[in-house]
Amino acid sequence: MTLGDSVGAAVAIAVGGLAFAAAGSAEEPTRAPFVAALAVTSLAAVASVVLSRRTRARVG
Amino acid sequence: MTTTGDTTTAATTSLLAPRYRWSTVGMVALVFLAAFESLAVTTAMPTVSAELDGRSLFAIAFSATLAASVVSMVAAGAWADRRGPVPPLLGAVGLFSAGLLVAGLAPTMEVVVAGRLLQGLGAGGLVVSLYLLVSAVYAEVDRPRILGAFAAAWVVPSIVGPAAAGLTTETVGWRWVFLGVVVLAGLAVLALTPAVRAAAREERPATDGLPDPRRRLAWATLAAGAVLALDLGARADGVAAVLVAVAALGVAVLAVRPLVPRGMLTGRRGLPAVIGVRSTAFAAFAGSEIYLPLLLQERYDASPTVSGLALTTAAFGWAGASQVQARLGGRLGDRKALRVGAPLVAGGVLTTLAVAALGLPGLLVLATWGLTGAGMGLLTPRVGVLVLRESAAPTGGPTPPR
Repeated sequence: MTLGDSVGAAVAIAVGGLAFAAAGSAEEPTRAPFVAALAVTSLAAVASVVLSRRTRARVG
Repeated sequence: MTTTGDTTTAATTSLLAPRYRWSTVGMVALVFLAAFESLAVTTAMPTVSAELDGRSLFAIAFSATLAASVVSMVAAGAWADRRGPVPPLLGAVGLFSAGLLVAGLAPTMEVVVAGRLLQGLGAGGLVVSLYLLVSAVYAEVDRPRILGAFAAAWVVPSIVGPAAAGLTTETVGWRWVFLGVVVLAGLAVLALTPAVRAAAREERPATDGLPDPRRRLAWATLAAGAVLALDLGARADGVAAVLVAVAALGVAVLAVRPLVPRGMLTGRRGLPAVIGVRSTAFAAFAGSEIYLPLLLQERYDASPTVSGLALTTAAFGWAGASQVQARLGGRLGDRKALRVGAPLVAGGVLTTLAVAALGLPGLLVLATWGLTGAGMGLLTPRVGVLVLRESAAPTGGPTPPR
């Protein structure tokens, strides 16, 4: 794991945690906090797919 | 050294030969313990946060560790440049062990987070110092094999770590997931004594002309602080939470920019995008994985041991795909590996999202998370290959191996 990987994962977990906390409380556990947190990480996953199509530098 | 025609081949030495034996044992043991700890904590954390009534600090218990590791990676590199790898190594093991003790004995979730922060400071420094120690102790011809042993040291903890942590949590209690590792880390350092002596005898290169590390350290510290502020923003209410989050995210992006390769944050075509694939895929993987045991325990009444199986399937997938891509070699193009690996990661994360949203069977998570791991195992080595092949010049931030 590189420095960039650590920073990226830390930010994703922090934003996911924010969404998790905003979406529900411990008193009444529902699926919503998980959906919120996983929606955030899904964005990162989709970004990786988009980037995987951009790995060849434009020539010229 | 043997010479055949126009090629010169240096003779290799067994990693367990008397010259290397204790260095190999100590280093591999430290990598093993760090790997075990990172997986075990994910399995045990739902129980920890439930027992200490700290669900609101669940995410920060992970992000604090990663954020702290960013600071210590930069600090350990600069320290080692000036004093050699031994002082940062000993400092890192000390911080890592102190973090384990603090977390293991914590009376509240806030103290667990403090312990995890210390663990992160230790883990980041440990990685950098160990790799530098390798170059001080091992002959060049033997280095690929000790680095291979480091990679192998991740396999066993990945496979048995989650189940072992689940079993420990269910039997003797979650505190031993932290405390049990302290003793073993001490023994590993003792084994390293010969390596430490050898490194201490090495002549230090001149430090004149080394770049001033303070600027990089300041950016790393600011980035880590912004991540923590982002986490703590979740504890504020309403508008305040949104304001803190937006400000912290802005600061985090600004602070990270000088630390990562140029063009990575904007997804520039070519090498920045290659590195970006791994960082975003890892963010998606790690960011989702911390919730799997919690989801399975809270919504499907799974035990810690069973919920840890999700992490084990990912480990199998990662190791298996890594082997497959190695065997395929040139038959699987590097860019094609990325184009197959990234959708696998995305598929696993999106399936988990669907399971959480629609209440689908939890077994689906166990099955698909293995594919997510396979995606990581496929793309991670090929990103390294592409970076080595195409980075003729430094691209900005450092990428210490981990």
